[in-house]
Amino acid sequence: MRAMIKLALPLIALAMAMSCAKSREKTITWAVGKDPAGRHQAMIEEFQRLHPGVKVKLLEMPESSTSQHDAYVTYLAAGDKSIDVYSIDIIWPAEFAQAGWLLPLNDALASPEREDFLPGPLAGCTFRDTLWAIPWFTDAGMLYYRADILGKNHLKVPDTWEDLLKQASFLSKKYEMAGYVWQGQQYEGLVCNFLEILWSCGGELFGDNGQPLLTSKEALKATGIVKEMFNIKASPLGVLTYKEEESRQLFTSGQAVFMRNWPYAWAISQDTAKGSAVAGKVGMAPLPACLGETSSSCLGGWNLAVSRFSRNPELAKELLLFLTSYDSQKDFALKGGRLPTRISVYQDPDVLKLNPHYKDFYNSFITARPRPVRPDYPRISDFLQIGLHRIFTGQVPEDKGLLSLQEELEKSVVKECYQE
Amino acid sequence: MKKIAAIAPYVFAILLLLLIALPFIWQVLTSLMSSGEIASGSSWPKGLYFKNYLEVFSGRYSFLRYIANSFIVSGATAVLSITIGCLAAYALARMRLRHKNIFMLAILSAAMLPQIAAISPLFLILRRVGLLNTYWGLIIPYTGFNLPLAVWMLYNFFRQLPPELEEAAALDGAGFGRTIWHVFLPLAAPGVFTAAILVFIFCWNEFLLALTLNTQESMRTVTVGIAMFPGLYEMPWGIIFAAATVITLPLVVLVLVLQRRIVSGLMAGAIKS
Amino acid sequence: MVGAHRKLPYLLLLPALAVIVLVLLVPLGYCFYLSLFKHSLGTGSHNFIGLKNYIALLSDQRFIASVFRTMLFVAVTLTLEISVGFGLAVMMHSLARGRGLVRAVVMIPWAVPTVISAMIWGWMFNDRLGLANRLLGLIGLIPAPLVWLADPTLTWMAIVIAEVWKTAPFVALIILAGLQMIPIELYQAAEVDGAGGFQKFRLITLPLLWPTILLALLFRTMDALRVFDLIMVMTGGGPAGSTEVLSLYNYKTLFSHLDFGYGSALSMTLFLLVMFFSLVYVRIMVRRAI
Repeated sequence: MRAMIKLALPLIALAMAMSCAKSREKTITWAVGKDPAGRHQAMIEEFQRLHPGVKVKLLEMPESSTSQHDAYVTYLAAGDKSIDVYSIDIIWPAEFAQAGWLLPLNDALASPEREDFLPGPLAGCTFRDTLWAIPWFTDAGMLYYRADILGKNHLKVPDTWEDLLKQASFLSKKYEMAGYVWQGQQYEGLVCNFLEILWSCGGELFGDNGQPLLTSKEALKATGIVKEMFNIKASPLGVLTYKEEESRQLFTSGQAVFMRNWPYAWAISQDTAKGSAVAGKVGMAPLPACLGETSSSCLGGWNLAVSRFSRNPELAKELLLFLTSYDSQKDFALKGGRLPTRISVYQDPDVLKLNPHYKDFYNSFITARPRPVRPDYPRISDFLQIGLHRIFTGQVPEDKGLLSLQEELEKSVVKECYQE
Repeated sequence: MKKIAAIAPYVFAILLLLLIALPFIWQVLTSLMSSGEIASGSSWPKGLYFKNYLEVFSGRYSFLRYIANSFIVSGATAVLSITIGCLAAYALARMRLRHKNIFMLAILSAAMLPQIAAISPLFLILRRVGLLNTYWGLIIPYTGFNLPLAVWMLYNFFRQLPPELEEAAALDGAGFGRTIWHVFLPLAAPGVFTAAILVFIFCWNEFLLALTLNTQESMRTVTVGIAMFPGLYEMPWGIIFAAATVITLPLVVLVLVLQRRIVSGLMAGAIKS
Repeated sequence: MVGAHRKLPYLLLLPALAVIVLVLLVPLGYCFYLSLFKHSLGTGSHNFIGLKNYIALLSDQRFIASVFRTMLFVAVTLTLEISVGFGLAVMMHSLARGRGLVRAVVMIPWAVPTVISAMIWGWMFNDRLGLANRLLGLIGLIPAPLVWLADPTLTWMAIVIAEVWKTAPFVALIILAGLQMIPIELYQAAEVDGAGGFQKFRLITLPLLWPTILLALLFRTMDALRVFDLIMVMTGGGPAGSTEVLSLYNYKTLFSHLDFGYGSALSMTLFLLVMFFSLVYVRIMVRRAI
């Protein structure tokens, strides 16, 4: 027995020594949606080269926003320490901050540096005057059109909803194809599509004190535009069952004249290997607006945040700054196809040379707006998705539907959320 | 005339099977199309387009590893559920037991809580015992969710067997373990086999727990592996359906091979003893 | 020896009960505990409120509607599944050749992961590219393509078809196993007595098969009450919230509203609902056993 202990002691000592040596190497873990271009690993290696003794573990998740949200909520609600940096959707910062899951980043991204970021994504990451995440790459709704068809018919690219509807209706009849396709299924995308119309008609979802404004004349006008799309067959009814890909497939296979979609659709529309039948025939523009109002698109995009439960918050912040730096964003734009959040990267000659269409994107991004930055946004969105879909599928008339949505929001959302 | 009567059921069966398999056939056909063909709405692939399959197995997504993981987890769960299930079912079906109905209901209740409600507490438990990102971390919860089906099916079949079986086995000098293994299991073979398959497939198809509990790439299962294919917005239907075909077909072949082997093996065991 | 013999059945149950405690009782206890709180991360509140979440459920229109939808879903799908599953099982059982192959084919729908089959069915009912519209158009049943998933009634038909397609094989496999367990001697004896095909079915097959049918019904009821993946992927609860069943509403409160207190109360209610139906089945089973 004693012999065994004697034998074991050096082994234990050795094991302890080894574990000490190991713990001197700091490890941080980064949870992020999978990157098809495989740039994450390259960026991590560069970061590790700059920070000897630091190891970054990559935890790749499905890219689907819902899958990531479900998993992250489970980890964070359990106070999980195993993940230091999360990449989060533009609609989560307020929610996660309110739940006490994130570290404030006001000091990490200070003034002159901060001004280089697009205002929209920054606003989306700012809740109660505090920055909770650093914008990493961005997205916003764009109008895609068939330049060849518009050209043949001597039509100019529509910049009002009225023109868009007229042209879409006319062209869809003439060519027996779909006119304007967008995302109208009952899901988050429907809210984006609706807000774009509402904002570009001068409307707002919430007033300054946080009261919902769904009974405003702008809201009625916005729902009216959507109803009119179906009435004059500018959009097929099927739009109410489409997400991004269903509408994208119609457009890139040459079966639709106009489409609202995110920038990702541009690359596919130019790529015959991906089955595009419209390569070289497509144009891009900001979304239309009501007459006399300005176009407005809804922001998407992803941001990087540090978990409150991180054991190495300072190192995690370092990683954030590295990933959102000019060089990293440029690399991501050139090799990863992700759209930068830094204004300066849009002026980079290399970037513009490879991606001349970034100019078009930039014009939309600079005015793009985040969805309401409120911790209860997911609940609001849930109500809007159902309520708007009820109106658009014709279950209720517009005014009645908006009124009951307004009441629903007033009752269950506002009171709870603004009692601080 | 007689010939027609003999063939008729088979014709009917084939038609019915085609109808059942239609969506699956469509899935396979779509997996053989390029994204352009899919978007233009063709129903038949122009040529055999295997790129989707190559994409599934291209190094970026170690898909074979996911298949192996799913195999280990599902197989172990099936074996564990049937083993534990046999013991419990034997006690419930063949032995004198007080509060039998309460036990039956207690076991059944493992399949009553909505799984979404169980995720958070399971995560906490498994983290406490250090089983996150391990095979056991999935096997244990899966066994729990499937135990009701295993126990109840086995109970149902054990109960139908004639009461003289134990006496005969005892006369032969067989102990308790051997009685179950050599007498009961073989006689209940159709039930055991069916339960094992159903459990296996349940685990093979589970997504939410696998996504949340095993985050490391080396531990991912096939359903999570498939979820890695869609982009933020982009849905590579061809690749997704190719992956789905890849994980469904082996299952069908496996069952086809196994059902002969296992059933005949078990039967042979029964005859021997 | 006698003492050991008496304890043996409980020992045999022990592993099963241990697993149940771990994966059911602990989560259930946790869930019940949370349901007693106003515990919403979205608004940052956390107060003990007793049973108030449950009381609030009673006046929650959305909850009540989702319960009705769940019941409707269970009733419709169960009727179809049992009929189709029973038919399939009898067909497979009556085949003299190729039973193995047929069984493997029948199993396919059950073997396709729900997430995928929901995507496939979503595609099948796509208004422009879907197979459903093309087939119906081909035989001239519809003049113009239907927009299935934008219409509540059509969407319900679509999800019921998808669910029955997926789960009838489960029922068929269980019933087939039950059919195979019936000793062939019984039929032979009946034939000696001069019983016809229908009489054999009514006097031997059906009574002996009842426990198995009830078993299949029980498990299908429990699963249909908790149906989630299929509807989540196919419709997300739409159009206009018309397919939002209880588990979907539960999911939204827990994971999207982050209202853990109220969401846990919903989970507990769903648990109790499943428990209630299971008790009904168990009662029927016990009666029949006597």
